[in-house]
Amino acid sequence: MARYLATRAIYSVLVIFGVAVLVFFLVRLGGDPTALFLPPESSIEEIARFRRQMGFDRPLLIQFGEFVWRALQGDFGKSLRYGEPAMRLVWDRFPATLQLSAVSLLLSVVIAVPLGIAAAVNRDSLTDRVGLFFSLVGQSFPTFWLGIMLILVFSEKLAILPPSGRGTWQQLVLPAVSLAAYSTAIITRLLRSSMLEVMQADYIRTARGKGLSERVVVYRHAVRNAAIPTITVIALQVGALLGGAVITEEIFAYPGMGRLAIQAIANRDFTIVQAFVIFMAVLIVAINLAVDACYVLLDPRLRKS
Amino acid sequence: MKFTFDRALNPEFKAPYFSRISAIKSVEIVDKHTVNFKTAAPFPTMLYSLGEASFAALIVPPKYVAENGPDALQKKPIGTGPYKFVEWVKDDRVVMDANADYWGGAPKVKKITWRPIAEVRTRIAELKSGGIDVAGDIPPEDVPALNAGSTKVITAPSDFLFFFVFDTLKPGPLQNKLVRQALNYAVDADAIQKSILGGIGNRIAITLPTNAFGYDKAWQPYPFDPAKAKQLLAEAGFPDGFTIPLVTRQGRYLKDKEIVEATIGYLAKVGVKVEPKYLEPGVWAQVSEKKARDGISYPGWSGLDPDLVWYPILFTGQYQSYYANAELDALLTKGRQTLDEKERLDAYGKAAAIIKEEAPHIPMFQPSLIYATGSSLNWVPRGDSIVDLRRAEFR
Repeated sequence: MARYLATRAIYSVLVIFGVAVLVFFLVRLGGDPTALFLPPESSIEEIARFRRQMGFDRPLLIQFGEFVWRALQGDFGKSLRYGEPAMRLVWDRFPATLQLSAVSLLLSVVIAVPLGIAAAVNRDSLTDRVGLFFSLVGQSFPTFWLGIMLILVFSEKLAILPPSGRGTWQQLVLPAVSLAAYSTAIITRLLRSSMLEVMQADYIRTARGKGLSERVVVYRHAVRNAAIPTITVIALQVGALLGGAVITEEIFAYPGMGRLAIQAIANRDFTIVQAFVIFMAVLIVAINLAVDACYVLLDPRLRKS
Repeated sequence: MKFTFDRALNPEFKAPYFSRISAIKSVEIVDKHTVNFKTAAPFPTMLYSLGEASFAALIVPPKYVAENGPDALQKKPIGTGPYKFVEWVKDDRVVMDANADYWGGAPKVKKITWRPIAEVRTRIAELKSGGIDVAGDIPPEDVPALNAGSTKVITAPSDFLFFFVFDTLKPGPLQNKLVRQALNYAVDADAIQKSILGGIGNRIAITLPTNAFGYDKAWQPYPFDPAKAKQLLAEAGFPDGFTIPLVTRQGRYLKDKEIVEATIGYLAKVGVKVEPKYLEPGVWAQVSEKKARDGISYPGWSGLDPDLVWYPILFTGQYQSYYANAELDALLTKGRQTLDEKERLDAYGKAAAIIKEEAPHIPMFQPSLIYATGSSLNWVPRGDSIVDLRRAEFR
């Protein structure tokens, strides 16, 4: 088991290094940021001087080497725009994003789990149809579109919820709902199909044969077994929610990490983009590692191999 | 004053707007209320660079900086403005309170909260639901709907210019004056303004804002005349047209992609096939630095004086200039070397005639800044896109 986890950990480090390489070079494909920090009428000498001062004129590989060396020591450079450490700016925004993602996840689970079970138990009933319809809708609507529609209906027409900002619980409702839609749909569908599969299993027939009530059959025997794949997906949704928050935050002017990253991309604020992407990579790799560790705990077969 | 400019003019300070004031050599104190600016050469556009509340002329307090260090202004700015800084929650809001002791009189609006809301639908929803009082950058298609009920639209001519530039420096059809005139005749800019900008903004006859120094309202743009365009192209030796590249950015300026595409459509009708390339902003800057905007480009520019517009983009050898003409150079030099308004008007009038005839650009529009506000706000916006609420009030 220790060896299994050690292998996973080494893979994780490689993944993070790969991400660092990608983000470093990709973010530079869009040209260097000098022009965006100087007014258009700046002379060619002023541009050259600024570039030299910022160190953008050096060979990319040297810049990359320096970036990796410093990042290993926890220094991701200063934001070009704010003049503050880039990783601290990302870290400062993390609570806001975490709050949004956590509320969305909670919302997803609270809606999806009962709906998925009800749909499977009452297969082909009205509940099932309605559940399937909503999960199809939730999966197929792009987040940005759903977000704008929610704003149009609840802020502009009905004027019952504020469309942007952070601070009150009302301001959290619309972004959380639009972010939760996709995860809710995925979890509902998955739980429904796992339940259907489990309900066909021999042990369920046996349980029924024993004369157990349907309630006990469903909740004690079926749900527990169907829960294993669902919990995996829920854990993976945490990463998806944190990533999905990027677009949601931009639409709802919600001051989290995603919005910081989008602004940084627009401003060519390399250091923040790098810090953000690596932060996310570490976070998601850590979640995956935790899920792997859970497998080991849940599945004895993995423990032996 | 002296402290502010000494600080900004020090190259080590890296003032982002250094280029706008670099002609100032020194600032000397004459008495308590007078300072003397010394410039290396006559600097007729100095007041545009140092106008009220322009970036280059924001006064900083020497004592505060001395006591709290150079970074203090970034975190808690203090100046001479109408509002006092209260707090800045990054990416969420900046809050300011009215300065009762402001030298220009206390502002009527007592508190301002600035909020960055990038998504336009969200901004409009906030305005409609009363969450905010002013929203900027309203798309033209939303103007009619916002000019009703509890909201209204206020526009102001910006200092900005939309126009196409021909690269006349490299060999090719654009070196021929007749071709450049033909392309001007080929594009129906009025129709583009009407359909894409909702009729908002000013059509410009020449690449200069209509409210700039020296702009003559009698100047006329090339009329839309595709037959004439074809005739000129034939005369120039291109009866079947030609193919030419175009470089631009996307989403940089109001409706830039739409305007560029419509123009390409008009040029296709007279046989000129345009191959557009959309560049990332950083790449655009690198291409510009190498002077490699081949064929036609859509750069955008601003400035309320011919010296701020024509000198950098038309004077021979300037790095953003894709045109060379000794006669025009002489006039532009004359205009920037004197403070005499009549002489300047005369020089720029003659320069305008050359620019019209030589057609190094297709001048398009001076777009408007479009704001939507609650209907009770009484406010006149500025053209330089600084939101100046000193004289705004709620009725």
